[in-house]
Amino acid sequence: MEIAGRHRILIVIACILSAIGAVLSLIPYVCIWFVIRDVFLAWPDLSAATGATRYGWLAVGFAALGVVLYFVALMCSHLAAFRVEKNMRKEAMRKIVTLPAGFFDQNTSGRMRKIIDDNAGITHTFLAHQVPDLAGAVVLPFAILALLFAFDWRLGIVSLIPLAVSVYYLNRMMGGDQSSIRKYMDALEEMNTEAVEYVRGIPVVKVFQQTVYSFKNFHQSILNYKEWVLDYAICCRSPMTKYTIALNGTFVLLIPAGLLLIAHAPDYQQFLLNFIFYILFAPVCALMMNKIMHMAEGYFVAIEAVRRVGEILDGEPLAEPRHPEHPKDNSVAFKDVSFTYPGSREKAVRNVSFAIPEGKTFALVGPSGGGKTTIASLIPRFWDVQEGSVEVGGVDVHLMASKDLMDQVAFVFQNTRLFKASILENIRFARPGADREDVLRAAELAQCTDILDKFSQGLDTVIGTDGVYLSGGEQQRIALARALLKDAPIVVLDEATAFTDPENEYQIQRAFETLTEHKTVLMIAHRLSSVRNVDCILVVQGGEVKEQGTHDDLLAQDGLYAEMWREYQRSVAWKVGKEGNDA
Amino acid sequence: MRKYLQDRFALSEQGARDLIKGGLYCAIADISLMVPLGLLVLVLDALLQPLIGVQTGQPPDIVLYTLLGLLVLGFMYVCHWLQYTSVYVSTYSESAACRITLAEKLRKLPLSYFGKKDLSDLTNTIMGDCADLEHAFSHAIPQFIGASISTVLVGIGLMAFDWRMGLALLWVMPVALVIIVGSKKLQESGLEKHYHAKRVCADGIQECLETVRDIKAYNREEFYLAGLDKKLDEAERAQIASELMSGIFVKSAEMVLKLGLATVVLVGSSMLIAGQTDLLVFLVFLIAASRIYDPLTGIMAYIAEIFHADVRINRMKEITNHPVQEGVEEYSTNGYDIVFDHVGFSYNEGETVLKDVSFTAKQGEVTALVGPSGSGKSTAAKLAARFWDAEQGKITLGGVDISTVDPEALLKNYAIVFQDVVLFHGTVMENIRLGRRDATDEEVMDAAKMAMCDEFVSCLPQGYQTVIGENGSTLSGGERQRISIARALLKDAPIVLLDEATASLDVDNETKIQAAISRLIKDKTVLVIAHRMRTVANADKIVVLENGCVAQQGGSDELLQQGGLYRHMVGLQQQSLEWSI
Repeated sequence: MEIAGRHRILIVIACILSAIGAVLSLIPYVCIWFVIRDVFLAWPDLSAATGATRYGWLAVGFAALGVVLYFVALMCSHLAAFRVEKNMRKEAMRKIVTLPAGFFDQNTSGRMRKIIDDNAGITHTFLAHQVPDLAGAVVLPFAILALLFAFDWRLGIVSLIPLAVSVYYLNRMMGGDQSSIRKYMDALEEMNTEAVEYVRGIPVVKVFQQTVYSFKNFHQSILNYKEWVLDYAICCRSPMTKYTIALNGTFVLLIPAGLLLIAHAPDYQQFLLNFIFYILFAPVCALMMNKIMHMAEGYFVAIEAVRRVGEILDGEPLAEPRHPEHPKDNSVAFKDVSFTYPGSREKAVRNVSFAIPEGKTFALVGPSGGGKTTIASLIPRFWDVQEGSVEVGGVDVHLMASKDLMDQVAFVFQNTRLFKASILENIRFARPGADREDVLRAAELAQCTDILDKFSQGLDTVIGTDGVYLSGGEQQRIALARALLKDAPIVVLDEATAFTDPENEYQIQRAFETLTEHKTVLMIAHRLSSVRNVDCILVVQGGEVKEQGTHDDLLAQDGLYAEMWREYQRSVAWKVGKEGNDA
Repeated sequence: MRKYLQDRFALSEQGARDLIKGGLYCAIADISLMVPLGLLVLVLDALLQPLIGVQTGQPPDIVLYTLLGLLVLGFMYVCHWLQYTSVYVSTYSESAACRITLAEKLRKLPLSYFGKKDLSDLTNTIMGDCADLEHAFSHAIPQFIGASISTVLVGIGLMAFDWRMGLALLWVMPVALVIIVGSKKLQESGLEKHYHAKRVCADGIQECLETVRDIKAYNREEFYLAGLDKKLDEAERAQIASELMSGIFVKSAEMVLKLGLATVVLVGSSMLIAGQTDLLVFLVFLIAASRIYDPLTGIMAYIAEIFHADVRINRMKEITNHPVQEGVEEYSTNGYDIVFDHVGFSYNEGETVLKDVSFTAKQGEVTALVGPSGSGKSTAAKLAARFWDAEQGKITLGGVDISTVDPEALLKNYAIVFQDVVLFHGTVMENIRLGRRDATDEEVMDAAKMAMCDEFVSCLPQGYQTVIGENGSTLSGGERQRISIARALLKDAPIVLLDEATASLDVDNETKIQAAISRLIKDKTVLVIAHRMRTVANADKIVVLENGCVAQQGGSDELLQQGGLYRHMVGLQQQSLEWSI
C-alpha cells in the first residue's frame, strides 16, 4: 500500500525486524538438535555433556532476542500506522473541501464520515498488525524449507507432504475466494438494507397495525442469510477439517518413514537425532500455515472494504482557471444555460437566459422541483454547467478564481449550520478582520438583538454547549448576520429560510430587507405576495424560464403567472375547520 | 452454569447449551491433537532402547505403528468434524434467532423510542453488533473455553510427570495471560482521554462536512482546516498514549510463548546432565512444548474480539430490556372525546415540556393547538396517541384512560398525518393500502382521488403499479404528503391527528392538499398542530400553549377579543403575510 509515503522507512524497519525476529525464533530448534547431539555423543555418561547447557542458553537467548525484535518492529509499525491514519484523514478533508458544493447535497455527511473513518481505520489495522506479519510470512517459509532440508532431505520431503496436502485443501476452501467474500458481504448488506427499511417503517406500521406483514420481508431476509451462511459453512466443513488434520498429521508419515529408514541407516544415532529434530519441527510448519491463512483472510477482507470505500473520494474537484479574470461590475447573467445533475438523464435546467443588471432584484418563482433552486445554485458555482455560461460581472464564473467569486456573491440557503464556537466567532467568520462593533452592528441589522439578550454572555456565548439552544429561526438569523457582515455586492437568497418558525418569520424578513439593500439580488420565492414589488419575476417550470416580467406585466399577460397568483389567493383564504373552502 | 452463560452473553437457552457443547468439543479437539504425541513417545521409547544398551532384538513394528497412526488420525478427524459442526452450525442458528428476537422487540418498543434516534445508525449498530457477535461466538469464545480446559488438563498431566520440567514448560502461559490482561488495564487508564480526543475529532470532521458550503463561501478553507488539523494531531497523541503499549503487548504475548520451548531446553539439558532426569522424559517435554502452546496462540488472534464482545452484548441488552408499553387490547369507548386532565410531561433530560395542561377535544370537532415553537404542541398531540405516557395527570379517550390500553390497539382509532412520511419500496397502490390492509383496489383509488393523488399518479410510468424508490425518493414532498393523506382517508378512523405544516410543503399544490385535508377531517375528532393562525380561525376550539401551559382556549373571535398571545401572534403573522421584498 502506497499511502505510507514519508513513513515508509518505519514500515520497512518494522518488516525487516519482524522478519529477522521470525527467523530467530526458529533457532531454538537448531539448538535442540545440538543439545541432543551432545547428549548422544556423551552417552551414557551424561554428565560429560556440559556443552549441552550452553546450547540451552543459546536457545533462550535467541528466543528472547526474537521477542525483543518483534516488539520493536511492532512499535515502528504502530507508530507509522497512527501517523498514516491521521494523514489520511487530513488528506480526505482537504480533498473534500475542493469538491463542488453541490456534491454535499447528494451525499449525506453521515455517510461520508463513515467512509472516511472506514478508510483510515482499515488502513491503520493493516499497517499496524498485518504488514509486519506479512514480512514474516514471506521470509519464514524459506527459512523453514532451508532447515527442513538441512539435516536429512528424505525426512524433509516427508514433512513437506502434509504441508502440500493442506495447501491443496486451503485452496479448495478459498477457491475463487474473492467471490465468496464478496457474496458474503453482499448477503450481509442486503439483510442490512431490509433491516433499515424495517426499522424506518416501524412507526408507520405501528400506526396502521401492519406489524406482522412488514416483518415478513425482514424475517425472510434473516432466514435467507442464515441458510446461505450455513450452506457455506457446511460446504467448507470437509475441506476445513481435512486441512487441519493434514497440518497436524505429519506424524502419520514420519513414523513409518522413520522406522523404515532407521533400519537401513548407516549411523543409527545420527539418524535418530535427525528424526527427533523433524518430530519437533514439523508442528512449526503447521503454525506457520495457520498464520498465513489468517492473514490471507484479513488481507482479502481489507482489500474488499477499501475498494468499496475508495469510490466516493474519487469525485472531481472544482477546476480553477489558470489565468483568472476579474468581474467588471455586479451584474449577473445566464446565457443559454443547460445543466443536468450527475447521474441523472434529464436536464434540470434547459436553455435558461436572463440578465440581472447591477443593483436590481429578480425573483424565481414556480412549482417545486421545477428548477428554481438549481438555477440559483449555479451562480456560486455549486455545480458546473454543461452548456451555456453563467456570468458574474460580465465574466464566466468558470474563468474566475473561486476566491473572487465567493467574495462577490453571498448566498443564504436552507439548512445552514453554525459552528461550535461563540456567536461572535460565528459571525466574524465572514470577515476575520472585523472588530466587535462591526459584528454587533451586523447582528443588530439581522434582528439578532433578542437572541443576544437571551444569554448572559451575549456575543461570547458558545453555541453547541450545554443549555445553549438556538431554534432553527434563530440560527438562520445568525447566519444572516454573517452574510450581512460579508457585505458582498451580489446576494442569492432562498426565501424558504424564513419559514422556520412563524415567530421568527417577520424578523427574518426584515433582515432580508437590510441584507438586500443596494445589492444585486436573486431570490427564490415561495410566496407570491413577497415578490410583488421586485424588478423582474422569472417564472420557472420544468427547468425553463416560461415567463419574465414585473408583477403587473405578468398579470396582464394572463398566462402561467396569473394562474399561479389566483391559486395563491385561494390558498391564503383557506382555513382548517367546518367551513373549509373547497378548491 | 448454563444460566450464567445465558445472562452473561445474552443468549437463548438453546444458545447457552450450544455454547457449552461447543466449548467441550473444542477442548476435545485440542486434546485430540495431543494424542499423536503419545504415539511418538512410544516410538521414541522403542527407538531409544538400542542406545541405552538394552537389546530387544526386535525393531519396532512398522505396520503396527502405521496402523496406530492412522487410527489416531481418524480419531482427530472425527473430533474436529464434531467440533466444527457444533460450533459453526449452532452459532449461525443462534444469531438468526437473535436477530429475529431483536426485530420483534423493536417492533414492540414505544413510538417515542424511534423519534429521537437516527434510524440508519441504530439499524447499523444492531446489525453490526449481531454480525460481530456471530463471529465471536463462532470462533473466539468456544475456542477460548476449549483451550482453557484442554491446556489445564494437559498441564496437570505433565506436571504430575515431572514438576520441574513442567514448570519450565508452563511458566510462560500465565505470564502471557498477565501481559494481555495487564495491557487491557493499561489501555483503560488512557482510555478516557483517548475517547475524548476521538470524540472531538469525529465531531470536528462531522462539523466540517456539514458546514463545508459555508466554509467555501467565506473563503475560509485554510483557516478551518488548520483548526481541524490541530484536533487530529491531538487525537493522534492521545491514541499513541493509550493504544501503543497495549496493542503491542497483546501481540508480543504471542512471541513470549516461544520462550517456553527454550526454557525447557535449558532446564531439561541441565537436569539431564545432572542426572536428575532421563532422555525420554526430556524428549517428552520437548515434544509437548512443540504442541502445547497452539490452542493459546490460536486464541491470541481473537483476544480483541473477546474483549469487545462485552460492549456489544450490553448494547443489545439495552434494547431487549427496554420497557415496553403495556395495556389491554380490548376496550370500548364512550364516544371519541379526548380529554387532557392536568397533564404534565418531560423528556428524559429533565426538560419539562408540559405542565398542567387541561382541555377537551370534542368528538366531531376540530381542536387546534397553537403556540410558539417549543411550547409543546407536537408533544401534546403525540401524547394523545400514546407515543409516550404522561407523567402527571391522565389522558382519556371516550372516558377510557389511554395508558391502560395497548398502544397498537389504541392506534386503531387514530389516523395520523405528520410531517415525516414513511414510504416503502413497493407500488403506490400498496403504499396507500397500508391504511387498510383489506381494502379493495377501488377503495384505494377512491381514497387517492379524494387526497388529490390521482393526477400525479396517473403521470407515473405504471400508474398505481409504479414502484416507489427507497423511502419514496422519487416523489416530491407534496406528493408524499398526499399519499399520507390518502392512507389516512382509507383508514377512516374516528380520530385524526394532523400537523398543519404538511400543507405548506409544496406551495403550488397547497390548495389541493388543503382540499384533501378538508375532506379528511369531516365529522371526526380532529387535533391539529397549527403553525399559521389564519388557517385555524375556523376551528371549533383553539388551545394556545405557552411554555407548556394552556395560556388561552376558546374560539378564534373570543380569543381575539381577549387580547394576549393569540392576538399578538395573529397580528405578527398578518404582517409577515403581507411582506414583500
